[in-house]
Amino acid sequence: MPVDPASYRDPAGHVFSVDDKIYRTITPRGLADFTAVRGNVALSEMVNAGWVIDSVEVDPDVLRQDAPEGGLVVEHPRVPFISYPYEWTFGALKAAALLHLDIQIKLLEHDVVLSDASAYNIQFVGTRPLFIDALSFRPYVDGEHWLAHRQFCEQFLNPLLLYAKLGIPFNAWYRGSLEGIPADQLSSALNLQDKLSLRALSHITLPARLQSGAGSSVQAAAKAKERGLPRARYAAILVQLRDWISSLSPKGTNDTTWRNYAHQNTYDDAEEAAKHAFVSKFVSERKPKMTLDLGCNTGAYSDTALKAGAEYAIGLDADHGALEAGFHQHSNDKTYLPLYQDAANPSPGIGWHNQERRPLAARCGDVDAVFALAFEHHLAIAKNVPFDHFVDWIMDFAPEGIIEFVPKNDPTVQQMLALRDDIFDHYTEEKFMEAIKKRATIVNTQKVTQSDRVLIQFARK
Amino acid sequence: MKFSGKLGLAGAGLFLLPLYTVPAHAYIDPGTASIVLQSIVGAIAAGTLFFRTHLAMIWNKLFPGRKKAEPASPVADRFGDAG
Repeated sequence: MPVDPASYRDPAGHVFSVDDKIYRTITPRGLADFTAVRGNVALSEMVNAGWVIDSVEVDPDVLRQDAPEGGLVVEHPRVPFISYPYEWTFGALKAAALLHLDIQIKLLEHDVVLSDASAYNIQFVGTRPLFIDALSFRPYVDGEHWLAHRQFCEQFLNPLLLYAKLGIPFNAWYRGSLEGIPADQLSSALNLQDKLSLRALSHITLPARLQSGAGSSVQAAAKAKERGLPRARYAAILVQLRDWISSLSPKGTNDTTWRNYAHQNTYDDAEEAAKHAFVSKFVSERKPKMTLDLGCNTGAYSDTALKAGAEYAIGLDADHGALEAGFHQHSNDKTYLPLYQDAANPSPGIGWHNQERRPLAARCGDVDAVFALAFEHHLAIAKNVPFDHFVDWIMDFAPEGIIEFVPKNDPTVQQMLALRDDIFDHYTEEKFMEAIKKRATIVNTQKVTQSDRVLIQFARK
Repeated sequence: MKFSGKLGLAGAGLFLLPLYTVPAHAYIDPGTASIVLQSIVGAIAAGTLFFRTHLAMIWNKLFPGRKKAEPASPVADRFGDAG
């Protein structure tokens, strides 16, 4: 049975994907904690409220030889699309952090704690975070410390602070450092005032300093563990972090920035309406369940697809502002997921064995239709990607979709060429169509702007 | 400046000594520092929370027309938007 490549760390159980179903084994090692917390009222409420993924016990034989001897097998509902923290917007990582803390705060009152604080234990259904690791819960032991505090800071707090205090999006750093941003590295970058706030001292500056300090800290930690941490202090740390994180936004912005965000483009309302009508007609006729919008901006074409009958839409863009606005404008929406991607450098397979975190394309198996509207020139002109390469890349995502071709006389392309040599002798609509016809059938086309931008509906051969 | 910010600057003095010690280059379990600090961090956080809660309650009694928000109860809010 195919075990999830990210599910190797925890001896308490593993995740399997079989015939579109997601199963989790609970080995004898994890059984005691799992059974101790499964009837917990607060945890059940969280499942009902959509904070925590549901787990339904099934016959272990579904996993045949992988069924754990003396253990259990549970089935989880499938998350529509798997994403990783380094693909999330600031708002998404913040929502994930707040969910993690809310779960901890609530469960601590009911004698349950989380055994770790991995951001990868949270997935998104639209813009709503969902805690997916059913084996992270265990009974609280009186006086215990929050052992995952450092992990929480590295995977949630520190990346958020990097963006909030320094204006640096965390995505590139996070992708290169899968376990998050260490306190000492963030501390080196913060200015003195930020370093010396009480909260920064508590969670970043001092831990970073002590971490690199003398070896006597090990004895000090042993003594601290022996003395124990009163539950009220454990809870206060969680509340303090929640309070802090909920106040953060990307440097120089606030929530209003995103609500009022509107993207500037070079075509008029009628032209844009024509594009929406084309997308709407395509979705109504072809009925894709899941759509992928490359260069999604704030998600307007995904909205059109959803209104026309699509069930789930994923938007990818490299513009942090547009994505952030899209995330806020779709707050609490379970059908639209905006993610950060640089199309010229999409998420690769990384982590252990280069398989732990899967490449973008490998996670798009359920995508039925792809849109690349006002997008092609950002690769073909700005990144010199040849038409054949571009078309191949697009068509690997889905069997059908819509591509917009932006001709050389278009104001946007002219702007892109203003300060560089025009080396694009073959950049013509005719050549673009030839590239598409090698891989697909052209089902429908429509000119949509005065500069002769053309929408091309294709069906892969 | 928020109260916690002011308290932070005041509290900075308490912490300055270890900040400017010369780092030994021995590797230490990264969780160690967190464990060592949690008791004092938790105590300060609990004190701050207690102070803010009660300050807001007193303010709200003295000036009922100009209510200050008490520390949020986010968990209840989140349960409220279930669905």
